[in-house]
Amino acid sequence: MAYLSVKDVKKSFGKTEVLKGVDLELNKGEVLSIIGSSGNGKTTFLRCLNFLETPDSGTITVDGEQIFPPLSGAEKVVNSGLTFGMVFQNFNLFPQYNALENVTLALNVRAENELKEQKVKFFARKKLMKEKKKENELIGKQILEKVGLADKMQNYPCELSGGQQQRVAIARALALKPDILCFDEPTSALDPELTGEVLKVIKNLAEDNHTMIIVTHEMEFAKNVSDKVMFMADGVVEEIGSPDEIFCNPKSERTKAFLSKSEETFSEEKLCQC
Amino acid sequence: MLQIFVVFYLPGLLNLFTWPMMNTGWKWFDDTISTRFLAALVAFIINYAAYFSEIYRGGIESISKGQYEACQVLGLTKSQTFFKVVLMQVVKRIIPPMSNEIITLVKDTSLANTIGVVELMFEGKTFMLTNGLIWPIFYAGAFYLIFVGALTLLFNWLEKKLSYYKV
Ligand SMILES: Nc1ncnc2c1ncn2[C@@H]1O[C@H](COP(=O)(O)OP(=O)(O)O)[C@@H](O)[C@H]1O
Ligand SMILES: [Mg+2]
Repeated sequence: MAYLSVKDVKKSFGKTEVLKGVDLELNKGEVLSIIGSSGNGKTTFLRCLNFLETPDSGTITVDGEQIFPPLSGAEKVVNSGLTFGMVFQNFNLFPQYNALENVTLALNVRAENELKEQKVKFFARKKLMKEKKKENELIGKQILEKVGLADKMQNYPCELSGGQQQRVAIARALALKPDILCFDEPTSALDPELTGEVLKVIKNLAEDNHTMIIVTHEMEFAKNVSDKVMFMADGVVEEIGSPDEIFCNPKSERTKAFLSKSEETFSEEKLCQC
Repeated sequence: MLQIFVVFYLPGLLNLFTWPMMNTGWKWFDDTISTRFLAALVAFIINYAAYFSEIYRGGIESISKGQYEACQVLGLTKSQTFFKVVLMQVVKRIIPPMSNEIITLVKDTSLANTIGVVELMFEGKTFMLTNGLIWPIFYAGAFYLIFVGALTLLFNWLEKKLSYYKV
């Protein structure tokens, strides 16, 4: 059975049905790119996986464990197990914290929650937290080095370029070691000359066998980095397959139309020389 | 000013219990002064509580949804989100309007004059009239200037301290 298995997920906002039954299977270590024109529900799908939106129906299973609908019968699902991580289009960094603090915040909060669960008394907890914070700082530094920001750890988000901010956001998501990392158009808010550095970081992650789902308009990148490409149209999966299948031999007419159009608009060299 | 009038005169006009209560309950003040002072206090508190809560509300609402969502996917609870992420951004947002409001409050205290509270301008005026000197009223003015100036410096300093991040 696949690592991530999504079955017939539906989501409506009022009367507009945005997701009309999305199915997806993904194996551990695979990278999936989601392509498709705007307004087709790509963002909504990622948000459903991260429980920023609650699907109306359908099931989501990760590693054999059903995480939606929740088995415990809880009304509202929270991403407490942190199965999924999310990188947003517009970074959403915390402006009052520097790069390192942005990365370690969630780690510290999690450590404190664990101590509280073990019912450690206030002063003992504060003491333990000091050590924990030091450990987390080391972890944070390692991750920031990995995304190439060793010299920017003390800088605040407003002092960083868009590309650097997005790399901090990636580091922040990585810190919690999510099973599956989602990216929602990670380079769409960036100047063209800054997209490269971010895409390179994502590519490195793919080589480290992180399981990832990437919504992107960078066709070239999608083709190079992914194991699977999914074309979404009108709230359904129109076509899914290997990059070669999608980019070289698309079966669906709509996929063909979309690809030829994006080749025009992005004026890239032909995605497929076959 | 209207609110001060209302707070001061309305209980008397309506013959509410508050009137005798104020006279008995607040005996440790000189009677006539205390009711006036209390009325001014109540009016200012109600008035400025309204202004300030509006500032806080605006500040909290101005924080983008993205900040909350980022916290949620990082597994922070609602209260952790507020205290660790949202609060400091709100503080930064509300300092400029707060400083304006507080400075206006200092100047507005002179309105209490109208119901005969012995505040700064009142004292200045009486002194001027009884002693036939013009200077005390200028001193009172200078005091306002210095007080407001000090507050302005304080808030500027605060804003500078928080200028390391942008919201
Ligand atoms: N919170 C919401 N309320 C109402 N409609 C929404 C909401 N979020 C998204 N939509 C609608 O859902 C559709 C799909 O949006 P989205 O998932 O952002 O598409 P994509 O990311 O593929 O561009 C759009 O038509 C959008 O207007
Ligand atoms: Mg989108």
